[in-house]
Parts: sequence; structure tokens; C-alpha cells
Amino acid sequence: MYSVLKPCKGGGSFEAVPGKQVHLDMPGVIKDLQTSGYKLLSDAKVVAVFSKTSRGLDSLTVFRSGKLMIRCGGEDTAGEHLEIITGIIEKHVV
Amino acid sequence: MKLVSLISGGIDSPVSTYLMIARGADVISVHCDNRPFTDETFMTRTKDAVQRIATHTGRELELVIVPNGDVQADIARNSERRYQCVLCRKRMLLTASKLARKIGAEGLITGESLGQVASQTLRNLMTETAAHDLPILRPLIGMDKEEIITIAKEIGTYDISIRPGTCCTLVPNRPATMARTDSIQENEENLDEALIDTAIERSETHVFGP
Repeated sequence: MYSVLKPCKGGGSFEAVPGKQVHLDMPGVIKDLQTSGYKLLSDAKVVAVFSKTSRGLDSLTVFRSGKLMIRCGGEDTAGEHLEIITGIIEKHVV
Repeated sequence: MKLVSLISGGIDSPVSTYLMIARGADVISVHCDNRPFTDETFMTRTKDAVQRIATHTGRELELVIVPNGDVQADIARNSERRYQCVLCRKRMLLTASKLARKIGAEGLITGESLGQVASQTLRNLMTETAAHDLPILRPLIGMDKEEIITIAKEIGTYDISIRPGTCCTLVPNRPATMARTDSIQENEENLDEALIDTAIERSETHVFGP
């Protein structure tokens, strides 16, 4: 689903964009990410923000358009989270 | 003359804050902390910029940090997507106005100048200002970016303001550039003003000496 993981232009995080245009069922995404241990910081309908400090993640932002912003120490950690998150998100593409 | 200045940690607002202090105003800076929709960089940059202005002017300065994340989420959940930035600025002006009344300030300062970003149009400025009864001073309104950067470099805030950080994740792909006052008011009716009062109650004040 995600073909690209690149540092976001602000330099503070990594950005992954879906290979094709998608629309996510955000309540479903939020529920499953919480079940997987991601703590919901804020649900703004079009965007949801999570944290999970135990796995080296400062924050994860999920956009309804499928875009992800992963803020963490390095690309390897971002890649590990991307793999987990992709498995969850794929189930909620509408 | 006591004024409240909205300061973001970007290039412009430290300059507008400085210019009014240089004119002799007693300025209290207010930063709306948009975490978790930004990272902590903006707050750190703001603190460092206010410290730099205090050092440059030889004045003790106060900075009030107001948690604004819940207000931002409320806008995203309950208004049209394209109005996010206009409504966000309007809510921040309302926050600053409420604080100004609380501390007896007579006006507000912003770092806005025309046309720098897509949503900073004359129409949007008018819409954002509607229903505010305190004067809003915009010392940078007619300046171009190079002029603003020159002053930022002179006072030492430029290098702080360009530190990398995560920009606001709630900015829409196509922000409104010609927001109508009546449309904005309709959208505002769906927003919860109590969130602003709660945010002010949870605000923290920091004092920076010269």
C-alpha cells in the first residue's frame, strides 16, 4: 500500500503516502490501532494522532487520505512502525 | 499601553512583537500550542525567540503558553475543511482577546502580512477580525518577506525561527482564500467556546529576563 517513506519537509518526521488515492474509515483505524497499543492523543475526524513511546515512537499522525506522519528517532524505527500500521490500515480502506 | 501579542515561533511574529516593544508598548506574548497537531518545536522556538527579544531590548518579557490542541480538533471535527486556517486564526484571536481582558490589555498584535500564505488575503483578514472589539495591530502588514527577515536577523530571532519542525497537520490542501463572514459565522456556531476558556485556565506563564 505504501511505496514511499521520506523525511517530511519540516524535517521532524517521516512521511508515507499511499501508492494510490484512498479514503480511510477513521473510527475503524482508531479502534484497531488502540487495540495494537497505540495511544490516541486526539481524534480530529480528518486526522488522528497517536503515541507509543515503548517502541521508540514519539507520535503517529494518520490522515483520512491515508497519508501517515511518523515522528521517531530514525528511518529504521519509522519503517518498523510503517509495517505494523500498514497491516492495520489496509483493512479500513473504503 | 499594554498589548497582547500572538507569537508562533515562525519568522514574522517575533518581529511584530519586537517592533511594538521598540515603540514602547508593554507587551505580553501569547503562544497557542497546537500539539499534538504540531511537534514541540514551535513552543521551543517561541520560548527561545522571546528570550532573544528580552535580551535584545533589555526588557523582562512574559510569555503565556495556551494549550490549543482541543480547540483545533473542535474546528476540524465541526466545520468545513477549507475554513480550518481562518477559524483557527479567529479562535486564536478570541483566546488573545479573552486574555487581554483578563490582564487589562488594550489591543492585540499579530505578525500577519498580506499574501504570504494562501489563506492570508485581505478578505480573510477582514473575516477573521469580524466581531473582535479590541484593536488588532499588524506592524508587518505592508512589509515584504525580505524586510521582515532583515529585522529578524538584526534582533537574532531568524536562526531560531528556521529550525526544522513539523508543520500543522490540520492545514487543508485547499484553504479558503475568500472566506465570507456569514459562512464563517455559521461554522463558528458549531464550535465550543468553553474549550477556549478551559485552555486559558490551563495556560502557563513564563518570564524571560534580559
